[in-house]
Amino acid sequence: MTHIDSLPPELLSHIFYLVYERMKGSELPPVILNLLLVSSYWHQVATTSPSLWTYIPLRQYTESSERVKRAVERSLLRSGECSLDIVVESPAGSSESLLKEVAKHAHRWRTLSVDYLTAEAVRILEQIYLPHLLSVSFVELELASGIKLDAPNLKKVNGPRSESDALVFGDPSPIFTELRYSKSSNDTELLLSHLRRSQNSLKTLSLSFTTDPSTSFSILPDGGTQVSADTFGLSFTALTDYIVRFMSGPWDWSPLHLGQMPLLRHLTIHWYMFEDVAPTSSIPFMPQLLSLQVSLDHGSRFTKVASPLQSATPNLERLCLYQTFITVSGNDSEWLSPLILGDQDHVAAGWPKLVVLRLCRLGIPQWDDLKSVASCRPAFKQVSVDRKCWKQSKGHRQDLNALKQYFEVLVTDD
Amino acid sequence: MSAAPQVTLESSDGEKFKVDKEVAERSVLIKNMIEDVGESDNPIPLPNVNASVLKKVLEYCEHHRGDPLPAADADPSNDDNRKRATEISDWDQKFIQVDQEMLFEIILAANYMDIKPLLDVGCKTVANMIKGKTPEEIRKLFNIVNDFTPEEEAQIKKENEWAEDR
Repeated sequence: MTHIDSLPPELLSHIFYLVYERMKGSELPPVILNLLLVSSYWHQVATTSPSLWTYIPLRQYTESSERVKRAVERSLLRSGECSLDIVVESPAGSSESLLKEVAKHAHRWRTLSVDYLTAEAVRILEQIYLPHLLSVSFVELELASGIKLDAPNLKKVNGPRSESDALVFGDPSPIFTELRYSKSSNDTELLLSHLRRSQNSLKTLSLSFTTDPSTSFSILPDGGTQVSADTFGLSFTALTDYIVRFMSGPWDWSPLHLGQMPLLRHLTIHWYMFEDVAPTSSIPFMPQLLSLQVSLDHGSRFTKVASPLQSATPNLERLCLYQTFITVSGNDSEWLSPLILGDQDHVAAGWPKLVVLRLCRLGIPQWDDLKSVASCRPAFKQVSVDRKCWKQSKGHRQDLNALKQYFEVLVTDD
Repeated sequence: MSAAPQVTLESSDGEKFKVDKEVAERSVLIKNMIEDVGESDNPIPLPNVNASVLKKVLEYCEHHRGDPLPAADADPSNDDNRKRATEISDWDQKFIQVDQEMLFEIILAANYMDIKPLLDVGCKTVANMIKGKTPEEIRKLFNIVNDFTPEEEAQIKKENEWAEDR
């Protein structure tokens, strides 16, 4: 009988790699341990498969934890010359000595994910050359004075937060396909240089404006209040995904420069601490847009902006409405009113091609309203809600399950 | 209109299969053999594949005739390629719902005949079977004997349990 151990080592190794790819992340060490413990043959195949040892997590580590140090050294050895995925997640203790060890293999680093860095760790990272680093992510990391990386082939960046220039690069500067950047008040020129360099290659752009854009973008020649891509001659010809977050308003559509994003498919807009209703006259026509997420503090904001948005995005298939603040007794039906036509309405429904409606952190007072969202849109298939929305709707004594005879209803995590 | 050119394949147990050349050439091994020896009426011998497995392999090749062939230099670090590495189409999932012996035979045949997409489907299916299981569950699933001593097991655990330091 043909048994799994009839497979030659290179095929078994490939299967192990597929398991490893699926489970990559926090569960990884136990996953590999499970493979190692099956039998001596599996142990031999796994320990001689370099691609299984490329994930190097530098976690909470104390000088006495020699075992972790040996495990890192063993992975560096077993991974041969394969590219490495480095994760620095050490909120306590000292991982610098480990980082120094891993930095000796800087030529092999493929991805770097960081959620904690000491000043010494920043110094180590700034001293190494990373010729093959493709992706770097500083997850929600705040740095006192930013960081400079020498990584000319970097493609994807999730930058740190910093009050001064957050992320600087050595020469030649990399050209990105994905940039996620949290803009502070002092690094406008730096952000613009990243955008200028990568404007024809960026596929995903996520910008967070942590300060009021009316003050942070005061460098326009005419003393205007917003950054305008037109003014800087930018055109994002390859961009498909754009996410923009403003912590406070007032705010205008023009900074988005949506008119010069001919391939834009997915747009996400967050307004936090919305102070005034966004002017609607400048919303550009975006027939290419298929997916839109709007985050607002209250449904009334959406009510005011919905109609011009519907006109500007006639081919939209997926809409996500996200309430940034959960109100105790808010009237969430305001969110849905622009999507609903009454019997007496004789105009075509906005977003006629809508297929999926997702609702996050708001309740649904009248489930019958959702039925009419579907009834005037022939392609409509699914309402998807997050758990908060689900609970709030239950609080309104609604049963979303009753809607399942009209369309698919999904309850998922954020 | 002339009929599509055909070739004959002969399994290890002597059964002959006449198939369209386009279908047979999903196998890089067969494609290279035809290119090397030229077209001939002689059957192409496949001494490592028996008739029942070859029949199944040809069913796969027939369904996927005309599909674009995979790029030899696909970059595994590319997200799209990684995503493809974990996906199995609905038809392929149904096709590969076979007993373990046949599954491993198909993988061995796909490897020998150099049919990369079929090899991927087989390997992904086995990977899915392994995912999330404990060593004991894996041994039970595949009928593998645990040949470690308790001391060896303890040593391997000691060497590799990073997660405890979290």
